Amino acid sequence: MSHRPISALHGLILLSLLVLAGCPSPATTKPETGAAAGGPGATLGAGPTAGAAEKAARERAAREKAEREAKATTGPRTVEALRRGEQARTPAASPLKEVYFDFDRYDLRADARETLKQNADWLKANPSARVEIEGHCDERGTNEYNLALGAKRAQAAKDYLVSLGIAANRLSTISYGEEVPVCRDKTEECWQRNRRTRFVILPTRPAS
Amino acid sequence: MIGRVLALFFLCFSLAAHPLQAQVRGLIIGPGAERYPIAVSPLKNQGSGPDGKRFSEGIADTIARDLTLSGWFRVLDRSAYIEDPQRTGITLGSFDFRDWSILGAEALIKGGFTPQGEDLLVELRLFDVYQAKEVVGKRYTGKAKDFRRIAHKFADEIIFQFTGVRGAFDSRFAYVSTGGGRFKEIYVSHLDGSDKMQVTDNRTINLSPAWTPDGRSILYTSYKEGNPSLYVFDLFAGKDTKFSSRGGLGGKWSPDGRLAAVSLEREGNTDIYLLDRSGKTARRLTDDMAIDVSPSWSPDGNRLAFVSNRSGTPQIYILELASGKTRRLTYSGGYNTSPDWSPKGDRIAYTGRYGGRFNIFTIDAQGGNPMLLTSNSGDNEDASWSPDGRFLLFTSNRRGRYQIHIMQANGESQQRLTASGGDDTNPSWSPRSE
Amino acid sequence: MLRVIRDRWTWVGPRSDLEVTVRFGIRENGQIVGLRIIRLSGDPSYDDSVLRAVAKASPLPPPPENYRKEFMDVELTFRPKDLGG
Repeated sequence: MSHRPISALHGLILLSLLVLAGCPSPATTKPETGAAAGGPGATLGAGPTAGAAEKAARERAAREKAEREAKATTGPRTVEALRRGEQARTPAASPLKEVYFDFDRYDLRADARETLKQNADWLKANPSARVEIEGHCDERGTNEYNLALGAKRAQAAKDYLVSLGIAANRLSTISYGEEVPVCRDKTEECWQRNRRTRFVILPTRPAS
Repeated sequence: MIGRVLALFFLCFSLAAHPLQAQVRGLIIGPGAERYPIAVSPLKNQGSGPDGKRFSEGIADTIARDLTLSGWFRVLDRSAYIEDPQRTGITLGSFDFRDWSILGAEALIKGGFTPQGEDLLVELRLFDVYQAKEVVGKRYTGKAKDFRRIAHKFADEIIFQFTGVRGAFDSRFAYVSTGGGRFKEIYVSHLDGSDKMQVTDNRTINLSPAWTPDGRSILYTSYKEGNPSLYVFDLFAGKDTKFSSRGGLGGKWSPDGRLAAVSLEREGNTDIYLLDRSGKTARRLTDDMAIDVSPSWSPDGNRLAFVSNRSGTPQIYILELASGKTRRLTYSGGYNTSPDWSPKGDRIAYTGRYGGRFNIFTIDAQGGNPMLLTSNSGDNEDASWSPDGRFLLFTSNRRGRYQIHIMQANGESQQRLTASGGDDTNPSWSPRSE
Repeated sequence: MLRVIRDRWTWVGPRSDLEVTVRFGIRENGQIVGLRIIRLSGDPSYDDSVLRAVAKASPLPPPPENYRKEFMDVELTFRPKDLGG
């Protein structure tokens, strides 16, 4: 991955992210104008009396906010966080929530479908965002089987998002099996937190 | 010698007496928990150079550790030894067996070494203390730095003398370790923990090491390029090659080394394929919507054991390569994974969920007679057979973190091998060294 | 009694078809007397290991009072476990 010079604004965002969720990919993103519409920035929508310059400024601000969210709040890809020696976590403020599974299962529970619907809404509102879906398992069982199980979980989430109208080419999958748990207690509460799919917003142009 | 004379005498006596049937009769099948007491003397320095404690005690220590790991022997504590090995001989008649029988030793290993520049000449002998005779003597020459391998070879020879089958201690094992950190890297080590070598160093996740039949290379799964793929690391050349770019989750080489059976993930679904040595698909073996993973070859290369959840839960299946026919092997329990086919062909070891914990089982390749080998000792997973089919490596968290353990094929004599401070998992026993 | 003897028996060998039978008496105080082999295995080191095991087990726990006479004449057969060779 190449590190490019970053703007002061980016620097500021990056700094806050370091505290929040670890340094994201510094690759520049160029979201389309539509990225802001319908998203959390939609209330900034231009009024009828606004001048062209003001409108442009608002759009820019909204775009930047969307970009910030797109890059920031899901946290980094697990493998990149791992490389940097950080824990890959989905922050509480992430617009894309994690989805949870039962032991040795990859069918979607009712709560999982509900969460995926909300995730789909955000993806519809941010049509430039590309997402990698990570499948994870709890520590119980065999590593290789859990790699396959994690792949099934990620795929189940992807298939459901596609059925809700999200373009398949915006969604990629990866399995981490049981290899990167968020907690290590031997309790059902911890195991449940690990049996999950995690959603990571990727840079628009894939980092090389 | 004395024993034989006595035995013959008593035999004649009992025949002469025409005894009626005894009033109390019993049958003992054993031996019992007590292991065979053996003494391993430090080696005698037969060269002109000074001390040589590194070889004298290093070779004795290595043999002692191997014999202990086998579970059949109890090596007597060296601090109790009476004779000075530097002042006695190593051949019959040049030392006193009573110095050893008084300690309770039933067998004795003595030896000598002669450093010759870079090389080392080593002579080792096994004696029967009660019969006061030599059982076997061997001479080895090798690089001085490889003195431990000489010791492993002689330990294998001792096991041959006692059991009729050569031991498997002149071999290594690969495993995955987190070391002190969060990365999972692959390591290779001798059974006794010596000559530990780190194979991967890419600060990501590396899994499922599997040896080529020549013991030269290791096939493994790595996240080093982002997505899990298969790679081959040549231990001799130190060269790493990408083997399959398509979502490889793990694989095993066929006994003839010409094909690898691998599990490849595509569109979320994992199936088993045969790849040739260049990583090209030779044949697709499973094609269904269930998870199919963890292939393990029968020693004749005609069948594969693998895991599938096609019945709803993960179970072991056997695939016959010629006919393509598949049959289910395991029926008890709702979670049976990670099969490893014994090199003798008769049994398959696997991990099963039993009583909420994971344990090692073996089962006949025909499906009968499942045996639970571990219990009441944490979770036990990832069994890997020794090349002689008499031992198993496995990982267990019975002491907290996962560590590699060894046991006899019937579950006896379970001992810990690693203590890295991190989690040590996925053991894979190498083929015999040449 | 069998347990005590078995625990003192140490032997490692390639053959699982060996069988040796010994005969002995147990005195009131548990002392083993008259130990002898009545059927040889054909492997002297195996025979030896059995004789040593029985000898090392002496004295055994005293036999039950009502069966002292019977325990003056004991016959034990020793078979090895399969080592999985």
